[in-house]
Amino acid sequence: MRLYVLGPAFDLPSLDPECLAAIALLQSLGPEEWQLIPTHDDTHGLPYLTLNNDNNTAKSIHGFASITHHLRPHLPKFGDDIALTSFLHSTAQPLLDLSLYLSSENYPTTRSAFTKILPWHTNYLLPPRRRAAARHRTENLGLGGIDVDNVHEDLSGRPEGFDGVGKEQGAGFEVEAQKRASLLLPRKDTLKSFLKRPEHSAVFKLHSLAENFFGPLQDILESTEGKYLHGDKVSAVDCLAYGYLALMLFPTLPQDWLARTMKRKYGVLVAYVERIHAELRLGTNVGDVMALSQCRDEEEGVAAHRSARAMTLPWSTATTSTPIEVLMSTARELLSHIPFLSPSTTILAKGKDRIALWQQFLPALLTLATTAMGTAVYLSIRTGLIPWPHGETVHLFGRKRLVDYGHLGAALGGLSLLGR
Amino acid sequence: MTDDDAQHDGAKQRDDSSPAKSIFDVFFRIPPPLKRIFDQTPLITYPENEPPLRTANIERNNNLLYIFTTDTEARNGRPSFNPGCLKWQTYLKFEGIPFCTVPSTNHASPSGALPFLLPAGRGQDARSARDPIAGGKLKRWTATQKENKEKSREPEDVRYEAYASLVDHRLRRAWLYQLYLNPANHALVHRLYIAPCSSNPFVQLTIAHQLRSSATTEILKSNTTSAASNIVDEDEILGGAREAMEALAELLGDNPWFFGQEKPGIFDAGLFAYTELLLDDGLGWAENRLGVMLRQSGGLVRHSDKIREVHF
Repeated sequence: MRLYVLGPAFDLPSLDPECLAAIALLQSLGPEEWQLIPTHDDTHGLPYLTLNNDNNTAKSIHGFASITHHLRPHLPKFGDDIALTSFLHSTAQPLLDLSLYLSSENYPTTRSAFTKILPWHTNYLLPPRRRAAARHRTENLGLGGIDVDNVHEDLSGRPEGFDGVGKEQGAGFEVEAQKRASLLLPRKDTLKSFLKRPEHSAVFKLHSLAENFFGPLQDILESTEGKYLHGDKVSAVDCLAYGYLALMLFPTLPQDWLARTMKRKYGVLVAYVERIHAELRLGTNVGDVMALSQCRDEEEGVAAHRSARAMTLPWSTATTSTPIEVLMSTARELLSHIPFLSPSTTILAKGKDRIALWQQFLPALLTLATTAMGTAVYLSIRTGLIPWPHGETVHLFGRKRLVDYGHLGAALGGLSLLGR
Repeated sequence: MTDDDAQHDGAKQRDDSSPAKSIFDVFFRIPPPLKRIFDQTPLITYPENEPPLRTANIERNNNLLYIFTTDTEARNGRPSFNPGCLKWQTYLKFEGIPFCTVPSTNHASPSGALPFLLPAGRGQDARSARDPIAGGKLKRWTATQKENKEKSREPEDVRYEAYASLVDHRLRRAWLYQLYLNPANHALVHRLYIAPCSSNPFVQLTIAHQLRSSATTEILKSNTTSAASNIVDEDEILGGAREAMEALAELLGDNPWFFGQEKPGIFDAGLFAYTELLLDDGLGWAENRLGVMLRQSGGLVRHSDKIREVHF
């Protein structure tokens, strides 16, 4: 069995909640033989598990839910577990998105964590893509305020008053002058106006979001008798909860409101996460895992390295990609940003009648038709196939000018010329 | 006498009293012949227009709930064909608040989404106070409406949030998939949402495309992060819905309402919004796999039937 996951970060075995949950699940199952492989290729989704069948054909299972189902097929499913899984997915994911990806102060930290585990070209593809997805998922929460640099302008980490080269002094002076002036002006901050400022209202929203997640989870945990959600053994739901909670608790971020809220008010949850973390021995040193790829010898070297560094997880060397794969993934990423050419959503359905192809690609088809028509008209006029409708020169016969009326006419003609 | 005339008279008096004319009076004075004509034609203020005839049958002193529905169904108080609207319609009925339903579209709503409610205005002066109430705030508004009666209590069960996410997340995904992305049900979408908007085939085509693509983005958004970014997997969605229904049926057990409450609450309304429409054969489903799944779990069907009998 080989489990492919997104690489380790923040002293955790993975940067992705579901990968983390899958690792915890495999680790909790005990002494079965399995390998853990950090990868960056998420075209089919991560984590995934590959199994070697008897006839040497590899079968892969994608996603935490399917992996759980495969590893524990005969386990009875509790209604509470299903509800809790859905609750974790729908409530914890936006919180992680906000904390790790969206917050413009925290994102540099997340990004540098990615830099350690990804090959150079993926660094330009994967983190921005995950961030875009996170932004997409959380845009209905109305918390764009914490995402300061969503206009492609990262102002964090610049010296005060710095505003582009050459304007440094002037801008600095203006800012200073404004500060002085605002001190002179009478300024009354009512409590209401204070609370209505975007940065403060965002704080309230974030806290209520976090409490809506931690509160119910802690209540459920307190209502069960054992140490975990099902008695004294770690179950699949525990693993999933660990995946999300660990990524909230362990990373050290500049804006650690999530971890702070958790530590301050939800001690039961903190103890729960730390208990699973210790019991399954999931602590990971990022450097050690990445150093594995320097091992020349496939089997022996890796095993020796693992035991030398006292690694508790069966880490293996990271997947590498050939130059062609690098080119392909880069091209695919570039293509997906071009409107009308980006690959559309695939719908995997068993039904006989699918959505007609022309309906699926309606905007692309319309654009193509318009462009084709315009080009055709332009070319046919250019080559002279269709003449430009300018018409013939007009000749009027029998029209009399003033001069044709003898003396009087000539005089009138002169007059009209004078008047001009 | 209107304001203009009064001002003009005032200006004239000032003319008489002060010989020095301001530059305004010189340039903007109305020539005497014109003024004579103006003096003879008084300004008429027309009375207010009557409201359109189609609103005449709605009592103006009633709460108006704007939802997706048709004219005839609105007159009979039938359930809306949109789960989001039906939830609040059902909830208001549970709470015993009288209201009339009015067919509407998203464009009419101040928040951009239906439903919204116009509270009953008491007298003409209350018009300014009649601000529409958007869907999400209806619950709080309902609580303010019944100060003297006992407040409806939230169920204290610790699992409430978890099970609520099953309805709002899994069932909603499956609903979006079955209605908008299953091509067999395209005729139904056309009848419910597209045909009332426009009769122009090109506009209809555009609306159909928009509906489908927004349903796709909603489903992709609620995908787990482990799924590939642009694949909508039917098996995964329907399997999730089946699990959700089983879990909900297990939770309900033999109780009349969820979480052992004595009267139905917002959770029951939210679930009924989906079950009612999936079990309704009159709606015209061409393919209704969710309905088939639902009928296999008897408890939820019983729950839905009971609400329909009592309230609709």
